[in-house]
Amino acid sequence: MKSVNNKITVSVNISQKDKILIGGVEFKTALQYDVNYREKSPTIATVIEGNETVENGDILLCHHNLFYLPSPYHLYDDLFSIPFSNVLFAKIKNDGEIEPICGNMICDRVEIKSDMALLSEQPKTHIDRAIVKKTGNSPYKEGQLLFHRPHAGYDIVYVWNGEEKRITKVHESQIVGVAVEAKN
Amino acid sequence: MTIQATNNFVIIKRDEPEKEKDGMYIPSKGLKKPHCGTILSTGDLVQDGNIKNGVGKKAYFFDGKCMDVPFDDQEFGVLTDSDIIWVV
Repeated sequence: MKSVNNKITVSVNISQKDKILIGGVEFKTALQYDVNYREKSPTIATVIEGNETVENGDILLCHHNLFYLPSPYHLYDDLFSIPFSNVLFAKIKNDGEIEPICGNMICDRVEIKSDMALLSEQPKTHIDRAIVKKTGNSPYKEGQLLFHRPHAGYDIVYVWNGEEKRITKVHESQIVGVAVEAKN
Repeated sequence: MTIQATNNFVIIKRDEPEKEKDGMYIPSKGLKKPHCGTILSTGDLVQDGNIKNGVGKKAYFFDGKCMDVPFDDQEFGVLTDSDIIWVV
C-alpha cells in the first residue's frame, strides 16, 4: 500500500489530551469544558505510510483541526489520511527534540519592553515579530529577527511523555521581512 | 537597523501627515495617515517590475492596507505588492 496524491497515512491516539500528569499523578481533564480547541484536540500522530520526507514510524506534530472528530481525513479507528502540507508542523525525534517541516519554523515570541515592572507571568509579546529558534528547510537563520503578519505566530500545545509542552510556529509564507543592518 | 522585505511584501516609509492650516490641535492618533510612501525594499516574489525596481520611488496604495511596524525607533509600513496602485 502506498499513499498517493501528496497524502500520508497516520495513526492518532484520540484521547492523548484527556489526561496529564501533575507531580506524577494522572489528572484527567473534562474535555467538554475546554473551550480552546487548539489545546484540547490531539496534535501528535505516528506515520503509518510516509513519503520521501517523513518515514514510517516518525512522530509528527500537526494542526489541531486535522484530528478533531468528525474529521474529513478520518478513515477508521485511529487511522487518518492527511495532506502533506503546511498543516504538518514538525517531526518529533526520539529524545523529544523538534524538527520543523513543510516550510514551518519554530520561533520565540519577542517580549515588549516596558519601563514598568511587570510580573513575570504577564510578559506581553509583539504580535508581528519573532526570533527563529529552528529553521527547518526555510531560508532563514537561527537567531534572526523576523517580522510576520499580525498574529501569524501559532502556539502549539502538545503532550510529550506525559508532560505538556508549548511552542510557537510561524510558516515562512507569513514572513513579511527580516531585520538587517542599515546601509549608510 | 532596518527591515528587508521578503516573499511578495514591500516595505515602505510612510509620508508624514500634513499639518492643519488653521492651527487646530489634532492628536497624532486622530490624523489620517497618507496612503503613500517611499519604497525601501521589495521581496523576492514581487512580480511587477515597476515595484521590484521601484526602491526609492513613491508608491500609492489602497487606504487601510498598510500594516505599521515600529522598529528601532522608526515606523515602517508593510504592504503586499497587490495593494500598490501607482509607483511614481
